[in-house]
Amino acid sequence: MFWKSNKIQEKGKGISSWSITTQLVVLYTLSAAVILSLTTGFLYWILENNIENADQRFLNDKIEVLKSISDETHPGFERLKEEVQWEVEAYQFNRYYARVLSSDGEILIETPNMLSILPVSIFSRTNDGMQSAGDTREWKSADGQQYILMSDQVAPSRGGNGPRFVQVALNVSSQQQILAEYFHALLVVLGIAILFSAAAGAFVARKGMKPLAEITKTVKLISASKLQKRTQPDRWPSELTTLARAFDEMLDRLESSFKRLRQFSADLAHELRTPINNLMGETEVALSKTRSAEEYREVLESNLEEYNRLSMLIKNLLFLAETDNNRRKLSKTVLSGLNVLEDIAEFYDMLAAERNIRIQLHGQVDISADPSLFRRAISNILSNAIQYAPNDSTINITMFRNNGRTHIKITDQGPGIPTEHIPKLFDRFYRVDNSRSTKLGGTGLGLSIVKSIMDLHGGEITISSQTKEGTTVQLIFPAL
Amino acid sequence: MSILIVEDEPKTVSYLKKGLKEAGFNVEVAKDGEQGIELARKNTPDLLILDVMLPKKDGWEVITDLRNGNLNMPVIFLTAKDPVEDRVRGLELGADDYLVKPFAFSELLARIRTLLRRRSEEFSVNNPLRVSDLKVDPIRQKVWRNGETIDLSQKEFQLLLLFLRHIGEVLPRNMIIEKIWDMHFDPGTNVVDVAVRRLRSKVDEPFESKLIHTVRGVGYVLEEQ
Repeated sequence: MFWKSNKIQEKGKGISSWSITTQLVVLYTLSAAVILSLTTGFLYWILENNIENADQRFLNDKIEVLKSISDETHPGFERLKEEVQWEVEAYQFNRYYARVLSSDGEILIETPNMLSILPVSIFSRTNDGMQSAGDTREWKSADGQQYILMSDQVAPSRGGNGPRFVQVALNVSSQQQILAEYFHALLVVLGIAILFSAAAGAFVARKGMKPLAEITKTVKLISASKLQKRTQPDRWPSELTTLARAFDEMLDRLESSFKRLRQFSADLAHELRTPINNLMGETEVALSKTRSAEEYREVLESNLEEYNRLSMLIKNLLFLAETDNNRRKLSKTVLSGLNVLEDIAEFYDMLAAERNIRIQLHGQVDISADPSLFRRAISNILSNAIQYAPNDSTINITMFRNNGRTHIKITDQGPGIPTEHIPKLFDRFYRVDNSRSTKLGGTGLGLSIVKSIMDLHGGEITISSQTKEGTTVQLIFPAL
Repeated sequence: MSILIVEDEPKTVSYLKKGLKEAGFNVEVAKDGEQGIELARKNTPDLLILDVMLPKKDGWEVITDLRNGNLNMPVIFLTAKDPVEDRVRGLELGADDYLVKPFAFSELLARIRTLLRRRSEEFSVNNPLRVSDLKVDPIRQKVWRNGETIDLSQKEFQLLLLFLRHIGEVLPRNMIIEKIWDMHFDPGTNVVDVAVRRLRSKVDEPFESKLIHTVRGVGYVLEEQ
């Protein structure tokens, strides 16, 4: 995604850094391969088992027959002998061999040529060359033919014969070959199926990701100069509407900060223009002809006052820049609200007394705040209040706790602020009444500074005002 | 008293040198960090004014070098750099004070005098102070002028005491705010002017000769003229 920072992409070198399409295709193909392999493997296993079982049953049947007729006294013995002779001819495909041995190893009945292909000893499992009962094994001859060998013992008969041994064998080479061919065919089919599923996965993934590519294209069209463009959330599949909406909201915020930033730059230029204009003008006029030392002094003094204003402006702007960039570290301590307010009220006491303004404090709560920033915030608000309070009035400062949060209300009995100005009061350089405020010498940053101090503390500032009744500024600090 | 200025910006050097010479100091100038260390070692000035951004060796290196070489004269850092972390770093490395540009020259002067005074003659606080016909007893908090008792409020008395401890020195407004109200930022109000006006109305106005004088754009000074 295009807004993902390079850092994250560099960090995630695993699968999660692949494109979503690749991830989808790979995962889809992998799961298809696993499922297909399991299925074909299972089918092959069933087939192989069935064939083996059939062979086993065939040989078992033969052994049973041989066992029951292996007695020469049995009326069917000669018939069996013949059958064994010519049965070979009947089984062209599955060559089957049978042999009956007497207890001392003499061959009683045998399929022709059997001895040369399958010697007696290969059926044996015991060291003494004797046959063990009910034995099945697989065997490969020197010319590569596969056999299943089975042998069994026949209990001594009533006719006085000793124990007999029966040996049967089945050539399963052709079955093995069929299985092998089947296995190869399955592999080929499996390979093709996996390739197809990969292709299908790629197609589906690409189709699925298409809206993302489109939304990216839309987003790319948005630049600083075209911030009013939006992604239009309703156009997209439901999964993307949330993203699109969040993105649009981010754009709203960006647009308004951009607007404020632009306004701020313009205001800053304006703010600098006036004092610098004064400085240039005054200096130029002073230099335009020879003057007395007293006059030069006058000009320099006046300039110094302008410089001080500029210096104050720079200090305040730096303060705001530091808090904006979160570069200022809070050193919070628990303060007695009343003590701090008393100190600040004392500072403003003479100023207020000049115009017979009383500052009254009510309540006491402890506040967790950075002492110097807290003093600065209160000081800025109180100095505003004194500026706008009429002569012979009272400024009330009330502290209380509500739901664990600390409230400090500073109320003056001034002319109030028209409602339409209130939301803009925290904007930098915003002045309700331009001519008046400049004359009072503020930098127009006082409330912005209070606001950023409150932001740093995770608190709030609200202003409410009633025309002709006064203004209340409320600072709300989060719970201790 | 001698002061070494280590600063590479010519205009700054020029006005600092002029101002400090006129305030009665012997001034030497080094244009980079290396020269600064060399001159500080050779002449052991009473105080160092050190810029942070310097060619060859920066202010941090200079002060580290000097402190390691057991040169313990007071050092005031001057900087245009972001103050928050730098201030802490400067003070940790052994700087005695820290001024961020733009600063008022009067403030620099006041801080230099405070540092030098702290090092040499400790101010005797408790003796009666006297200028012209003004007499102040700091212990009993009494003020007389021309034989008449003058009643001052607590803050007015503190302010007068501050002036008397800096006779003939221009006190910038923020220094007054710092010393009297313990506020370490400039609230941008005219509280100081109001306070001085009230003090004057009691100490100066009823009398022929004026002692407290305004230095426009800078602050106030108490002296016999």
